Amino acid sequence: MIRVELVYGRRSTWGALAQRWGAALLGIVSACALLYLLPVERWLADGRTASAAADGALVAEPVGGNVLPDGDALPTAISEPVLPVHQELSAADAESAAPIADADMDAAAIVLPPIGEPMPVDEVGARGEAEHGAVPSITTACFSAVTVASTVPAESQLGLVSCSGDGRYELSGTVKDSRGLAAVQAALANVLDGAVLSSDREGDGAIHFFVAGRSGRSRDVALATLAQVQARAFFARVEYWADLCGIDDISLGAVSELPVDGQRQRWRRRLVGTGSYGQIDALLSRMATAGETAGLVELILTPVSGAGGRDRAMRLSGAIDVVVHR
Amino acid sequence: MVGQRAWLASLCRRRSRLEALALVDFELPFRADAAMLVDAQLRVQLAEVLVEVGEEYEIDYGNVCFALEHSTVLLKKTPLIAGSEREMREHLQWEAEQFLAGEERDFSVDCLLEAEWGLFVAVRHSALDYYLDLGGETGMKRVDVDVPAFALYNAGECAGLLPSAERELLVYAASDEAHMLLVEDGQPLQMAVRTWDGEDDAAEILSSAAKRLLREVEGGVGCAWCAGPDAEVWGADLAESLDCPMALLDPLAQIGEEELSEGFTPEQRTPYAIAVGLAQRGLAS
Repeated sequence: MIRVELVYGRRSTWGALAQRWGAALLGIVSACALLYLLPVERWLADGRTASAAADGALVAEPVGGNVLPDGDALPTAISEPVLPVHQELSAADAESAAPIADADMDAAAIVLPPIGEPMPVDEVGARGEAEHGAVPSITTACFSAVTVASTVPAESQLGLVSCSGDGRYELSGTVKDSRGLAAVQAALANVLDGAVLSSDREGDGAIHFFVAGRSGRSRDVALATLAQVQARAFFARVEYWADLCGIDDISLGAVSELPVDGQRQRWRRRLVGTGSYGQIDALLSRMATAGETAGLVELILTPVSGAGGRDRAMRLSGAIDVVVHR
Repeated sequence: MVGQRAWLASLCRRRSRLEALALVDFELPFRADAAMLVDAQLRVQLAEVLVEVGEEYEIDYGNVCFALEHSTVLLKKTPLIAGSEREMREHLQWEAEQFLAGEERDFSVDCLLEAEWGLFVAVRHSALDYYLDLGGETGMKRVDVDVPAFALYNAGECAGLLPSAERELLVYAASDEAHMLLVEDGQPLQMAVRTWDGEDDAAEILSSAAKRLLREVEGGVGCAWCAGPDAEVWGADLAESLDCPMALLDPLAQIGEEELSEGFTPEQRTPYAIAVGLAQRGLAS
């Protein structure tokens, strides 16, 4: 049985109840002990009792296990977008990739973008991570993303460019006619090895294309092992570079620690921002100079405005890996 | 609930034998979608319909599972890292957080871990609360939710039909919506949801979506399992376009025909595939 636990969490109901009551009991005992050991007046004056209790309540709250008393008081509406980055590109991809009818998705898509579209297999670090304990090496392919993207003829509407850690590129978009499709194929054949093109005709007569292939101008780089302080400094530098290159709305996500072996681990952070082709290319070029310090294990570019040409704004989402000593 | 139709299956297990207590196919007063869930008035109306159906067919709402409306669910597949299960779950949680708008605590996230990859499923707590509200307004004691495509697979597996081939495609289509699940050795490999409107060629949409799913894997599928109203018709066309055999997913195949109402054929049972899968989940909980 395929089973995910969304309402009751990944534990039995009894387990959840026990944990919940256990947390509550522990909270009461701790509070009593604190009240006994510390002057109550000081806590009340600081107003910290209330905030501590509130924090405790948040932690002890089961995963959606209770109906909220007042629907209007819900912290977030269902109509909020679920995905800031990937879903937008999924939706953009779906919109352009979908066969005839999917170009006008149903009304529900207005509430939330359809999420169950065929999902590309996320190949973040697929190669390196599959080899347990191997020296992490990453291809330099993703640093050429803007070069690949700008190869697509200006007449076509590019919807998505993605590059994965093993050098595989996927591009999708729309063209007006079969002549445009041939131009896309010819252009990408110059920069991608083994490029395979497929297409669907959409309702308005436009043709949606999807191209997959590998970067022909990349090499594998074995990542050096950094001290953790060096890694932190590197990520700070990346953020500075992004700012310097004029990238807007920069966000560097939290660190995900991925084990490599007993002595080393990968630190992965996701950089998100918006910029023109030129700005993003400048950032990628700077990052490429880091050599064996860091690798780009995934890069996704999606247009965020209707303007064409090289100056159009693209949303950048890249997963950056470094290897550090534990 | 798909479009303006709903299928309800009430099952029980007595001495390890499955019994179908009620199978009800009924019309909704409005389209069942995420907007319906958000609107408190519509939710109350839907609850009234469910209460009416429950009373008419004497359905016990003690343990109920809803199929999640497709636009409320985020599913993402990602390769796994080396490490313990806890580390892999933490990594998937991190991956999920990168793609979710809002705070981590706004979402309920769970994941399926397979040999080389994981699939995380995320739903906003507020969306889950709407289902729980609906359950509360209907007088349901325990409410759970599931992804429709997972319920479809579970229905086939519990009926003893799956897995039957190395690679299989499961398709449920009804009204203007289709759910697809590509399965390899019993593990979900890829999923898709398609919607269309009246003027579109549904057969072409299904075929195109299925081919797009299969593009992720080399080679074709051993079988296309089809379920939903008129599945025997559109399923044949789909299987022909995919060049594979087609089979009707009868979620109650394990129950002898003599135990069901007379004339209740597999063609009539297959629209209940997702509903039966949801009920099977309830029986297993």
